[in-house]
Amino acid sequence: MTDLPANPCDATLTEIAAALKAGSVSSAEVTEASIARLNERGAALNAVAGMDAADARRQAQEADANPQEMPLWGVPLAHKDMFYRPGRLSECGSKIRKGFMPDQLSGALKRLDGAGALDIARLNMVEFALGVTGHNEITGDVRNPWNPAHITGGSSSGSGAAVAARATFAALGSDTGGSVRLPAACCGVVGMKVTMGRVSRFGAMPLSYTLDTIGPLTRTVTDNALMLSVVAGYDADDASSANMPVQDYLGDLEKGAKGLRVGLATSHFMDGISDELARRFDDAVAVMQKAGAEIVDVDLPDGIQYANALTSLITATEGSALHQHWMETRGDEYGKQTFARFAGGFATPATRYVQALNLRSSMLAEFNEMVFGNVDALMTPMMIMDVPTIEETDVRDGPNAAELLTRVGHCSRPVNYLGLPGLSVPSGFTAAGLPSSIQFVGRSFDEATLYRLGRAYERETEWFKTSPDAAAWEGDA
Amino acid sequence: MNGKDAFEYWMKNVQAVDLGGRDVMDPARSGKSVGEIVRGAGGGLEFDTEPARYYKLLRELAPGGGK
Repeated sequence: MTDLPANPCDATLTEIAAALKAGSVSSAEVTEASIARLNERGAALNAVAGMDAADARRQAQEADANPQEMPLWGVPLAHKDMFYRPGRLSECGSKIRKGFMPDQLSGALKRLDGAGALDIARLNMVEFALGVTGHNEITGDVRNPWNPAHITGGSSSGSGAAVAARATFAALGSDTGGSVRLPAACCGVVGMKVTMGRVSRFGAMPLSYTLDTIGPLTRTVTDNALMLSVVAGYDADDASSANMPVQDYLGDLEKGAKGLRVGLATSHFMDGISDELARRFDDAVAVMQKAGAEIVDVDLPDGIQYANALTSLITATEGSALHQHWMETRGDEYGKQTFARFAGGFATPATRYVQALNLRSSMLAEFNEMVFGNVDALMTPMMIMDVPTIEETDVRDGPNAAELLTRVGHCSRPVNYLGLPGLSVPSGFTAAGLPSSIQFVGRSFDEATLYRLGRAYERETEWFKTSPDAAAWEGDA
Repeated sequence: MNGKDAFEYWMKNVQAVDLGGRDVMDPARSGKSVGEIVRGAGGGLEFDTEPARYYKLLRELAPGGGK
């Protein structure tokens, strides 16, 4: 086993889980280091919504006193502030849910508990998870560890920032239009948007019944596969949960890309991309070729160009139905952008909403035939624009908001509309020192192939070994 | 607030939001997209039930047909 870094928080999830299992470090030691990182770095980045250090230490002491053969035994984790745990706040980045104490245990947290993980902090997020930039008028904007003047992406903004800052080994997020993959991309970490139904949504704050998914953000692909191995699976408490076998995500991880066909889309995903990101994407394709993947061009259904807007329409419509009562009675407690986007849902004709849902079947069937009839996965950029500053994208409900949100979600939202899995993997840094990322999109319930491809790329590049310069902002809290 | 009050509130306050002016939600543009795809589909949408068919399809298209 490799030696742990001086600060155990600098180890990967896989490394720390192995060290805890081997007894070379105690859960109390790791948890103490995590508390310090969350207090220092987490606070400096505004990534932490709440932490009960005394309870975290109690959890660690219990773990140390009772060692178990569990994959994440004794590992302290922190998650987006929308996963319910009885007796603990879950405020969803909002004023409306301030003080909300759920009585349910989220299905995903239940699985992590069952794997021995500790749950020590709640991470900031976009208000009610409705936003791809990471801005939050209520709790303040989370800052990017690579440059605090820039956005983290959203809506799992605190999850992205805390994982990148080495303040937590992994974090759960939710992805309705890109909310796991975009903060992963902006913060230079790995994010998995799972197939609809793969991870239980029970006890997680709802935004869109038909688009919400739960997935992990981690520093490495292997860590991500480990996390999904724990949280994936059927949950009878979630009516939309898929009673399907869970793949062995770790088993084929090191098999490499040889023998796999990877498709490059001939439309949509490269539209409007910056020159630098286009070059970086070409470099990533070359890496995959070197790793043994066969690269081929694939055509996409014409309708893919509309999938971004359809996702936005469905989210606003379903979200407005969920929020109508609060919007009527406590409208002034919403941030301006959140209120305006939900309000848009009230204006959606019912027929258009139903048609937007019905179109999913035909577009999925067509996409599946055109893409997965030819390749094992599609490779795309994760974003078409460089990670922007917080200031230049603070559009709230202004005239530029729709265009900005559409551009940020250009590569993520179509995958939500189809319901397919998508893995965001760091692909280095731009000249400005901010992360760039690629995305692998797979067949339904084939997350394992995406991990295999992501790991093949990661093994050639090892971008995850580069850390943000925390000394530049650590004292900013 | 009863149902009648809620409806009146919605009519006065929520619907009064200048949707076009704020442009954030842009339902007209999103709705137009749906319309264009429906028209592009020629024969229209399949006469089937949602979400059952979509979720079933998602499972059927998994490697090995989801078995």
